[in-house]
Amino acid sequence: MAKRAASDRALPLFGAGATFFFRLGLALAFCLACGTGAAVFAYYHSSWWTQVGFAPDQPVLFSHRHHAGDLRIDCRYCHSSVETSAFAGLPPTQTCLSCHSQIFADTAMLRPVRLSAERAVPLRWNRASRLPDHVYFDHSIHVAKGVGCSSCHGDVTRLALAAPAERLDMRWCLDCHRDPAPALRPRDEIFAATWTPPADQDARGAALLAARNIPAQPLVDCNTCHR
Amino acid sequence: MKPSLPPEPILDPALTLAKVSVQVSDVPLHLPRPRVWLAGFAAAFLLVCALVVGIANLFARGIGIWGVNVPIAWGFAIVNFVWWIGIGHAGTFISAILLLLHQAWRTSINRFTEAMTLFAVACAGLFPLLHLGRPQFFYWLLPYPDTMGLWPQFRSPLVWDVFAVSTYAMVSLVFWYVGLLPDLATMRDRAAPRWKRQVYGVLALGWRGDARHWFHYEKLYVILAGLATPLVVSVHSIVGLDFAVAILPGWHSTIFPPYFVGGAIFSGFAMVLTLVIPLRKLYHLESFITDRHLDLMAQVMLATGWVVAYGYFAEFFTAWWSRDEFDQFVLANRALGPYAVPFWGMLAANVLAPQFLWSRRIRRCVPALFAVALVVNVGMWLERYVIVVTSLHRDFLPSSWGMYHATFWDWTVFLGTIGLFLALLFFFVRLLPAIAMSEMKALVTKKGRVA
Amino acid sequence: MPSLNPLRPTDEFPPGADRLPEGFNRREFLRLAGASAALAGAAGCGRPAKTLVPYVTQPETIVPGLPTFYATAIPWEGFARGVIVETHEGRPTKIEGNPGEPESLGATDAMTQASILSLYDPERSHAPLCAGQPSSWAAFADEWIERRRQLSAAGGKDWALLTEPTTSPTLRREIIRLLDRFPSARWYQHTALARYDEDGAQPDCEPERAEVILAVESDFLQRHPASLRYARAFARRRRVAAGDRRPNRLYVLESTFTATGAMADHRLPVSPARLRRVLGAVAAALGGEGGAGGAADLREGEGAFVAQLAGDLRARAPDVLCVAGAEQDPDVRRWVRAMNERLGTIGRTVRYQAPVRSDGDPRSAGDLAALADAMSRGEVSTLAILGANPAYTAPEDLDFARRLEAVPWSAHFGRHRDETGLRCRWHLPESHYLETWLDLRGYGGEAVIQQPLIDPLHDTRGPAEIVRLLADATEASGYELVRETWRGAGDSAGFEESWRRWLNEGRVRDAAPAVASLGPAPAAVTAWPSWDVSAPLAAPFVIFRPDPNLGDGRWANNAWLQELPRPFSALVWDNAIFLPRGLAEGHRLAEGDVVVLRCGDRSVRGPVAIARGHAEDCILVHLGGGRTRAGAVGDGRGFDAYRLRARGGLWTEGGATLVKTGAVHELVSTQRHFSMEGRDLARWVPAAQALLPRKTDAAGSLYSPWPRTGHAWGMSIDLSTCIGCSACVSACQAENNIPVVGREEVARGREMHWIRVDRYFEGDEGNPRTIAQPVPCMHCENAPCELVCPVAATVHSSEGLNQMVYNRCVGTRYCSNNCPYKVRRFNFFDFRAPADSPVHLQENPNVTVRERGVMEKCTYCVQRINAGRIAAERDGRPLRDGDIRTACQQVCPVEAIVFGDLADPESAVARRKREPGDYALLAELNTRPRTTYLPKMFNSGASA
Repeated sequence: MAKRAASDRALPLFGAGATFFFRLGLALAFCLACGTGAAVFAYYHSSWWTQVGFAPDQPVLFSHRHHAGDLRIDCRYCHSSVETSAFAGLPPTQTCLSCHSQIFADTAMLRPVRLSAERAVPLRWNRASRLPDHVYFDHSIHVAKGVGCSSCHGDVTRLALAAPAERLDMRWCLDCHRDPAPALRPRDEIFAATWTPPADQDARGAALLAARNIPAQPLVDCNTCHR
Repeated sequence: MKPSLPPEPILDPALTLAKVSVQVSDVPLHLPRPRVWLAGFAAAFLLVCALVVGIANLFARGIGIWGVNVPIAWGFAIVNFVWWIGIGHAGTFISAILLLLHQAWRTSINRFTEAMTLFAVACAGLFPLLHLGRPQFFYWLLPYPDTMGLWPQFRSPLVWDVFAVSTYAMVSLVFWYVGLLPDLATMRDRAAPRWKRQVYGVLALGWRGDARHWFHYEKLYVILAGLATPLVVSVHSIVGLDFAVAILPGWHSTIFPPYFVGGAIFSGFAMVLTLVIPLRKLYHLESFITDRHLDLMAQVMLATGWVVAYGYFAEFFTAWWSRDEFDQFVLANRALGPYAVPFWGMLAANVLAPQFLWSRRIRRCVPALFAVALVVNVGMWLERYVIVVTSLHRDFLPSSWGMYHATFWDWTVFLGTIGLFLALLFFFVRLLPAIAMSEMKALVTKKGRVA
Repeated sequence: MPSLNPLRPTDEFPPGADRLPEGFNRREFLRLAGASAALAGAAGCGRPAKTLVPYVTQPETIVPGLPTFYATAIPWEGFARGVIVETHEGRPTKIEGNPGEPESLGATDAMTQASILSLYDPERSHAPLCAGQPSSWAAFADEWIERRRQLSAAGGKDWALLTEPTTSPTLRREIIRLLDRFPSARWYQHTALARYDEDGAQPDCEPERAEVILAVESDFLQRHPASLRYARAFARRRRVAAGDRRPNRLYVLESTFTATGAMADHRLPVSPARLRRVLGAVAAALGGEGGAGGAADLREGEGAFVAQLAGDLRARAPDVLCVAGAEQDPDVRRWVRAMNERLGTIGRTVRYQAPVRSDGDPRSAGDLAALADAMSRGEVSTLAILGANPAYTAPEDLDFARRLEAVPWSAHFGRHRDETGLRCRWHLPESHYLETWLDLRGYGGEAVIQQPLIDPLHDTRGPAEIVRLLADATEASGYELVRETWRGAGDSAGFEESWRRWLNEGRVRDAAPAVASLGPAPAAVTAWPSWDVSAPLAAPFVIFRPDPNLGDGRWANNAWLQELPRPFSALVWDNAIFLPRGLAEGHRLAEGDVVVLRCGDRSVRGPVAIARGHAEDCILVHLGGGRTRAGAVGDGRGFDAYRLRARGGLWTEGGATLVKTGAVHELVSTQRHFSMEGRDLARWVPAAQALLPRKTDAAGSLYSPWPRTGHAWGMSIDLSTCIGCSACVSACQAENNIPVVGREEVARGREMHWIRVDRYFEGDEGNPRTIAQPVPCMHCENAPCELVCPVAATVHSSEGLNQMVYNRCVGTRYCSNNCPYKVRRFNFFDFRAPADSPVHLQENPNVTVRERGVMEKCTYCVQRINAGRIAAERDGRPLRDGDIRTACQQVCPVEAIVFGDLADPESAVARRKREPGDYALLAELNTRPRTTYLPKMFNSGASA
């Protein structure tokens, strides 16, 4: 027993590469720690989290590209309360039928719409652009002050199915609330989905900012969006 | 204080280098009196289970299971937090400041007290998290680039706390571990089974004790001590500011930072004594931790006890001097109001009890000393209770006055952390040398001159 | 009508648009309401709603996201009070007063605010029950026809209808119609509360004209059908700094504290025994023959009071006013009327008019006692009870519950299967008033069309429909019944036109004058009615009063009212036996001791509470507690004082005995200390000094003042007019989705009200001076809470709001510790209603519902600020003063709270803050509150 212990003590406690592997381990642990942080950061800034460009399924394959793009139907035809209410409004089934009682009346694609009308059961659309419940976004005031639809929803005339065009996270909102001028448009272009800032937008934006007396400070008060 | 030559040796003169290694490392390697250890650990472990249940229930049902309310929105959680943090301070004080002051006698207890510091800080660290209404968002107190474009509110002392406490924990850990290195090597060499030696070997980071090692080691150790020293002052000053920054009468007081630091060291030494006295009895370490050590620690307690007493006095004096009706009311209410018992208990425990330590006989009488230490531990907890609760329960508007009653779950979590603290300590003495062998040997070699 | 819709003028009222769109059943409604609530974000913190649910056919009156407002009326003990109700996507969420309606004048009381919750009470009866088994209206109709055949065989003999006294022309017409069809059917009326008519006349007064007011056991400022009108008029004369007129002076003779007594300049606590002597002395001092007493054997205090009162009355007559409580016995009221006649106030500050309510209706066979006697004589074989709950509210000695069980065939129509419904063969659910077509008259006599806001949530009927059902055994729509009543009343514009206007304005303005004033009585009456000054009763006395929040007990299942602090005691979820300290010490009783209170052979068991300002030997008990069939919220809260009541002494009993049981019951209140401890918190100022400039509190500061860019929101609260009615607390609860926490949590100090009414007493406990101080968040410019929040969850807005961002809060609660006003509230648990509770339908979609672990507090109704601002900006017009009103301001009957923009020097709030008395609470802390106070003016002293 004692002999064994002695012989045991004779041989080295660790192999030749032990030190190397130990240091390697330390290095890896360090990288792992940093890497995790970086990964988390990247995820929450990526479209995996923000859903930008991801279109949810819909009960009816409604195409903004076709209606707003090809047919040039005004946004307000369906989103009728966008100028008067916080909520832009979704078209009641009857609005769809005002055309589709005539056109494509009996296509399979529109069957849910017909059923909804017959059975007085509302359609249930899936939200594309999502804001958390503690954010009180008001469409009407943005439209009134000259922020166009496409500033937040992108150019819907390119999309078949609706999908978020922007991050819609708080910093993104604040970017604009801190400096609204670049997003301000003349009244007649607010609903222009394909609007792009003109070369002299800085000047124009500043002018509109003054003309529509948009106060700087209150825009970044918490209570402007959170109550 | 200058390192003065003590009239009597710090250590048992009979101590030899070999004896040091054997006696100290035998405790973890083949544990004497395993039953006592098991019993103690089992008791502590039960409390840890209670802690787990308490926390689970807290997260399941919410902070409401505690006694906190409006106006008394802080209760046991903060009381315990401050108490534990304070206890931690003795460790850093002993290892860092006494080291810089060349107090040789610290050597016998620094390892153990540093461990105590770590575990106390661990317990303290729990409470700020637990007492949050939404603990899942604790990380909002850390500055990091988030998607909201928001940062912590740096004017709030709670944010200072985050940095102060985390730094403190970090430095204490490193300091403790670095100090352990040579001893881990000794353990590696003395451990019997190969796997044990390998474990200690890895932890020893290949310490061979050659000149280069010692050279770097000594440097690093002093540097860390230098780093730790300001922390002793900073951490509890900032904890004191948690209260002093508020406008609440009874909190809004400039005396708090120094008075909290004094109180911290006071309670810390009390806790060291409370733990060391049974420890040295249990493992016959009297030759390392001599009565002289206890005496010296008692003297430190006496001194810091007076710092605390001065703090109390200053509070009353400023209240009287300021003629601020609210301040005066709060102090009167403490002395005569519904919470008079904890208040007078606090005075008795923190001001009267230490006065016994004037007498050398009591300082040398271990049971008496143990008793005083225990009393002071309780007293310092009561002090935090008095500060937190009695200031809040009757503030400016009588219409919103209220009462605070701790609930079963308050006590569960509090006692649970005591269990956690003890359990960790039991692990520590079971696995690691509770006394710094290497430093001890240095002392032994110097002994001739010391004697 | 802009007056009608401050936020969004509805164009003309489309007939029947109150109905939900066709193809739209109740289940649909709930579903859509739920979905639209999610759209509007009422679901609170957490994941956003995934699905969007549009209408199939969108009703033209509804714009998703915008509220719609309808005018209607709430019955207050049968009398109308005009209200305007806010609806979101068809669900009523908030009730406001109707500024255009004379009994409301834009204000409401706490019960009205809370009544919206009862609409969504999950325990309301959902469908008819026969002998406790689910049944249907059709089944009832069949059985009723059969029953009627037997009755009419007996010539309709011995069947009785019991209703509450009503002011509704339609309901009354239907009842008369029924009586005509069944000549010998009897119509009885029952109210557990007061009758407001005396000797066939109903007194109505105009306090604003009165220089001196004497209130005899009358709480006309809070507990009266016209209290909102009275309080407003009274307050107008207290705002000295604003008005050019001299402040009025209020004398109060009462046995226990009331809101009116708390406003008194001179208050004399008198027991029922002393009251007669004191009144006699007053009469004597006013001169004239007859009467009795004289100044003889008055105690000191009483003598001085009487002397000064009589002096003031004589000096200011006829611009004076004497009012007697409706609960007083006829002697006292006749006596007070005589005083009015003597002082020549009739037709000037008082009018006696024909009663508006049907108590004394000639076709009525009498009250509950009459019915009980008929039942005991076995004359009632069939009994239909409409609305009332006599099994609970009947005086004990009528033994009504047992007699009811003996009635062979009985039907109960009510919102709950309550104590009465339980004992009837049939229980048939009645609609909530927000689901009912009816018409009501206010105390002044003006009619209001009560139009429903929503289709009945359950299978319920309105009272008019029910009576018609009883008469014809056929269903009729309330809508048609009401229109039938008013068809004749249309003006030249024609009925439909007038009808639309009535509904839109919420008052039948041009209806024929409802009641002809009886005109002034013969002036200069010289003789006093005979008067016995000797006390009819022996001490100690028991004073019965309706519960300040629960009324006669009908609101017992309303959690908001249960948790609303009672005046003077701040008691919640309970009632108590209130004793003056002397009496309590005499019986060695302490707060919370459970005693048995006995009058003759009747007794109740309840906890004792020490009350201030009681006359000696006066024990106050509140009716409305101790319900057994109110529902989960209301059952077993407190004791049932009706069990102590006898038909003889409905409001006062003598010779009571108190026996200590040894048991102790913890009474829970939101305020535990009622003394200011000598601190300068709520200020008094004598009328004479009210206008003198006072040294400002504003200490100099090294810091530059808060930068004011754009609006600067602020609030001013006038303690001179605040009567402490707690309507603001209730309104805030309704507006801001404030949860109810329950008795145990309040006991731990965790109530959630954003605004509280602090009550302080000063001086002699027997007759203290008292002051009510509403305390919302002060919105300090140097807010202590903001400094200490580690995550910037509470920060300052550019317009001076102290913002609270729930979703950023991690719940350290440091802000609450550092708030000197302790106005912050914390969600210690998840206080939200269960996810499937219909109560969520009441929630305001524009206010976040807070989750567990976050701090919350008064926001100055920031959702209203934003809505007002957005509306103005959208229309490109500047914000006008008054566009934005906080919930507490809008509800306040006495205009004590004013909110607005300090940056506009002409705004009402800015003008108030320029008044000399303006002061900040705890100004010495230099928190610079945006909410400041005006001191309470008191007008005591030599002569008015």
